[in-house]
Amino acid sequence: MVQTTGLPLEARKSKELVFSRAVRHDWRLLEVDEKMLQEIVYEGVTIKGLPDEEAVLCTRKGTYSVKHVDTTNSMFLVPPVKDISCEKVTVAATAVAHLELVLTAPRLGALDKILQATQIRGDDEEEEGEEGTASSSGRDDVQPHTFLELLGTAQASLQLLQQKSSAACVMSCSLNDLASEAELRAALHARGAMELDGCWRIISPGHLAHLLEVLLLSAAQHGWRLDDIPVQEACSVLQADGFNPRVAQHCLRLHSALDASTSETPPLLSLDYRKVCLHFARKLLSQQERWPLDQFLEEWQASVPEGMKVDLSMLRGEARREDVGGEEVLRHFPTAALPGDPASRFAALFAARPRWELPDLEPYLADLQVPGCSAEFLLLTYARASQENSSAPVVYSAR
Amino acid sequence: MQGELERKGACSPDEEYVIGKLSLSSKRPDTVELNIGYHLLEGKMVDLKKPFAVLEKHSSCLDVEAMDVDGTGAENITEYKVIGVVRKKCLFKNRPRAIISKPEAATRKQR
Repeated sequence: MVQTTGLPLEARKSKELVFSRAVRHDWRLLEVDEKMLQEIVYEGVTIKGLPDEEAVLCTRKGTYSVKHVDTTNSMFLVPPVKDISCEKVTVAATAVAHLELVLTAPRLGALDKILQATQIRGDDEEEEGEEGTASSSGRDDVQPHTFLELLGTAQASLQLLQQKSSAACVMSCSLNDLASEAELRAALHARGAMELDGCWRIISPGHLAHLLEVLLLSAAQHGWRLDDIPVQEACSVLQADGFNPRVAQHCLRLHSALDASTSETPPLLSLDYRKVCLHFARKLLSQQERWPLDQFLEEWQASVPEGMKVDLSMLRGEARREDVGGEEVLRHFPTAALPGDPASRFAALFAARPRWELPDLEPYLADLQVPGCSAEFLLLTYARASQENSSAPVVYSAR
Repeated sequence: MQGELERKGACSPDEEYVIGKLSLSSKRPDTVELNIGYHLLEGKMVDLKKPFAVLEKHSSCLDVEAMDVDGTGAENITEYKVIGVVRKKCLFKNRPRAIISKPEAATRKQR
């Protein structure tokens, strides 16, 4: 119960254990491992949360939920003393609980709301690219956010104090999105966001589709090879058509094989055929709820630029095949429209189709991220595997 | 064995308050003895599996000038300072033993 870094006791000599003049009850004990301790001391961390929400602690790379753990024993905190011959052992504080950290997935609900509300749209004046950010975002009153605003640590101070022998540092609290810096950056890239005039925004799907098609038309017109598009030239051509060149360049990047996290854009970009084909597939799929498979493949192939070959495997996680009265049909079923947390995701999947085979199911689980849980673990937790006989494929159904 | 120490109500919390006598055992050198009134507690020094960071809360109200966050002019900044790290504890996990010789009732140990 008595906690200390080593009690100042000597053999054959008793000392009085006393409560100090003003015993503190408001100190918090945070259980940390050495790695976390280093991170706190040298980098600083942020605790975030809303009043009725569980708080999270964010390091630069990870998000941890903060759990309050009641201990059944009293704990007395005895600070280290300089003088071992001192007659008293003083209790500076007592505690009956401590805090534990559990690695958790970042909570990004607020991020999606902000990005939705501040989409770059096609039909207003911000295409000029000179108005800056003030005139944007149309009907909503939400302003685009900078990275730091999204991170919610605009005022976070990462001071480092030395106090006695133990290192001390500052953790600051803020109330914004519940994710760490690295996680937020990854989430922004995953959502295809771009930094425009200092603020992170996404391009509205409609505008992005329009841009891509104009881009493909211009490519045909100017004789650019689709695997060697001159970025500078393409952007100035699109600018002449009234598009913001930076947004046009981002559109190119989004449809290229370029890794979203690289900030550099090479002078020549190769379009990712899968992404381009997917765009045309989505267009068809949004036109009509169900497509007979053959007819779909035919129309899809006809709609993509010359030289590209469509393949059903491109639609993994985007559409699913169904057998309706002996006829194979294709139905739009995009991952993006499904809930992000595992329990609801599985519920939605099994509501759409009671039995799934693994190859069909996998693409819908790929983006689920729960720290410490693999896809297999999620399947074990939320689905029931069954097999009709030893040669039949394994089928997953709701638990 | 679970329990907590309770302080008798009447005295002011601002005063220093004696809980008991703490000493190293004369028989076993790794044992710490805590003597409270009629009771003797025996404890051992244990390394914590994971250290505790001791946090102290600091709140301050800062004016936010240029950076307008969510439309509020001023924002409460709460910081927790790590004022120490606990790596060892002395764990008293056995039921207290009664001793008869020293009458010195002050605080007592409860279930």
